[in-house]
Amino acid sequence: MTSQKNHTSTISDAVIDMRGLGRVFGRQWAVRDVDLEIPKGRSLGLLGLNGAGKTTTIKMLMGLLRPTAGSVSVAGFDPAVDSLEVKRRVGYVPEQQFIYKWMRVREAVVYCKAFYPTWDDATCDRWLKTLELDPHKKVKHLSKGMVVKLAFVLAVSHQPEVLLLDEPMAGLDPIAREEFLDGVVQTICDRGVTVVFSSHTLGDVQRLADEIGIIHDGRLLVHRDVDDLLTQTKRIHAVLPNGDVPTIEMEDVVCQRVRERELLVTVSSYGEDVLGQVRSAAGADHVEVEDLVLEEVFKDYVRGWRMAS
Amino acid sequence: MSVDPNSHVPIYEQIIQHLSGAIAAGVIRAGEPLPSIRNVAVDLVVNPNTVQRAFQELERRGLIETRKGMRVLAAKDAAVVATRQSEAASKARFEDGIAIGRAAGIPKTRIKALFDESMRSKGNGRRKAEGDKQAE
Amino acid sequence: MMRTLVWRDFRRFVPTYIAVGIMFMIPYLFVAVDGAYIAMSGRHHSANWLRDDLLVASYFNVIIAIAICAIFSATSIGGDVGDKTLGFCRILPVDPLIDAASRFLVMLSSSFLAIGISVLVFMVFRSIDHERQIHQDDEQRLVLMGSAAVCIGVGWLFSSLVGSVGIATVAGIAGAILVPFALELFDVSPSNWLYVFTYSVISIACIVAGTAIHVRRFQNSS
Repeated sequence: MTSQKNHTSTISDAVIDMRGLGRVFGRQWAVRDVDLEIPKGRSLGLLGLNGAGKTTTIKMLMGLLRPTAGSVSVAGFDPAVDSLEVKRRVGYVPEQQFIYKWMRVREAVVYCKAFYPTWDDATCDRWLKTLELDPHKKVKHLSKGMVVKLAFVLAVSHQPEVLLLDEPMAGLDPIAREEFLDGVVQTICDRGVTVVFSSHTLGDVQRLADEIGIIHDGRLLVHRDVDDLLTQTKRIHAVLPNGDVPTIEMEDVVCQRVRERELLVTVSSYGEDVLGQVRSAAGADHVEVEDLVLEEVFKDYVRGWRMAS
Repeated sequence: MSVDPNSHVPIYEQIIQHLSGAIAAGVIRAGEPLPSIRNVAVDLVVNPNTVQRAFQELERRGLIETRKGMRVLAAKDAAVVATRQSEAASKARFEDGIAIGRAAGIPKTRIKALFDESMRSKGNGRRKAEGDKQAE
Repeated sequence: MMRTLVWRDFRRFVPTYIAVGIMFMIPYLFVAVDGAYIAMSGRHHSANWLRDDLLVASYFNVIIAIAICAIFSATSIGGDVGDKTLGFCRILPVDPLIDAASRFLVMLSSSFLAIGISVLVFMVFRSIDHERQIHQDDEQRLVLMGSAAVCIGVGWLFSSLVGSVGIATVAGIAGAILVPFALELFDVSPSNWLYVFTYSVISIACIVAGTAIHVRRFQNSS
């Protein structure tokens, strides 16, 4: 399986850098051998099934979990060593919020503000207003969507360099989701933050991501610019003339399976030559090429990994 | 303008198609400003980096130009260029269609007939829509 | 930053303060019941029944105050671990030791306050009552202070260990009962230096261990 990076970046401008990153729970590797660099101002969308290792990866970036293997650097600091420095520079919104329920919105703001030297009241007030959060309301009286929006305000008011969003929009209604996404987009516009986020909603990933990482079984199966991933990953349908299933030995093959008399080969960098190779290997004279939406790309990477292992 | 975040066409490509379409159709004329990257990003709720890349690509194709103060304007011959590019794009689609037909062994004359049929069906569709409007 | 943390911890304790206030009223409720009983029965009774009852009630409150130390110490960490709000504190750039220090400070001052008030009330009632002397000496004071320290220490450790206010409270009180029992078993009297030593070691060890667990959880558990 190949992991491709098509953007031009040097190590020096990587705000987030993971090398051989791994984490064991008990005997199980939740994350294994992850190498990832994210340059300043770019956003990475992590795709993966539940338990694939997205949350574990993001927690290691935040310094909430210590890596078992490899190293991480976030905004120039190692979260395992300087977790305070990392937390000062990162805005983090997890899937579940645990803000003290007895706090009023204003109290939660004052509480968080105390820990950040870079806190900006104007940013905070603007967002509270935009997202229609009543400062006098108690957290326990807020809806789930409202609490997530509050968590967003708390995560961006200290003007972070990095945003880590771990499926914050899960279970939100479409309007709250749109507002949240809008907030993230505006923060990217205004501050050029580097973003790592995970989401089950592939449409949201496509809106926000410059790059996509597909994680499965704790492994990073692919890391690529979203445009390349969508335009170059294609599924080739070849009708098998005599029912024999050929084996195609190509580096570019993401996933290969047979459905009825049809061979489906998904390739990571489509071209005429690739098509020719598949055609001749299958011995087929009729082939068709299918463009894939992100969901299909994701599924084929997971299928391919399952078949290979 | 809106984008389909679930399409197989990258959002970057969708923005390019949309803006060059707007320029070709004369919605945005030569010398007129385009919306800012920020506005497009916030409007569409997409990553501003994506919008910026689309703008860069439009500039490379000669459809827009960046002036001092980051103002982005539609280029002088933008409409001509855009039309030419739209022609090239539709020609590429036709070629794809022809290739599919050829691969399935459909004769040339039949493919041509199919092309005419599609042209007519488009026209029919439009006339029908107008008829509906009058009926209201 | 410390001011904010201390504010948080006092604010967190408000429901506990209310519960403690109610607990302090219970012995006086018995006094009221006793009074009602005497009034209804119309029997001859000691003229000083109220004075006596109040003295006993205030003495009970001193004992209750010691158990309350366990509640405070159990709530200080266990409350946040139990309802996962610790997850909210962990994402903020706060040194876990400072966080622990604030929790400890608020817990300790609340405990002192509870004991202080109960002792003060007791002393006031005792000063009114000259005839009846409740036997009180340094040894007894030592036992009470030691029990409070064990309640705090063991409560703190379990609060951080199991993250359940209930279990930690019970553990703290059980510790305060078991330690003197064990010392009795080994024939260590309160006048022996070993007595104070054992109490100190147990309390301090529990506080250190509890703090260490809290810091560890704060830094890198899930």
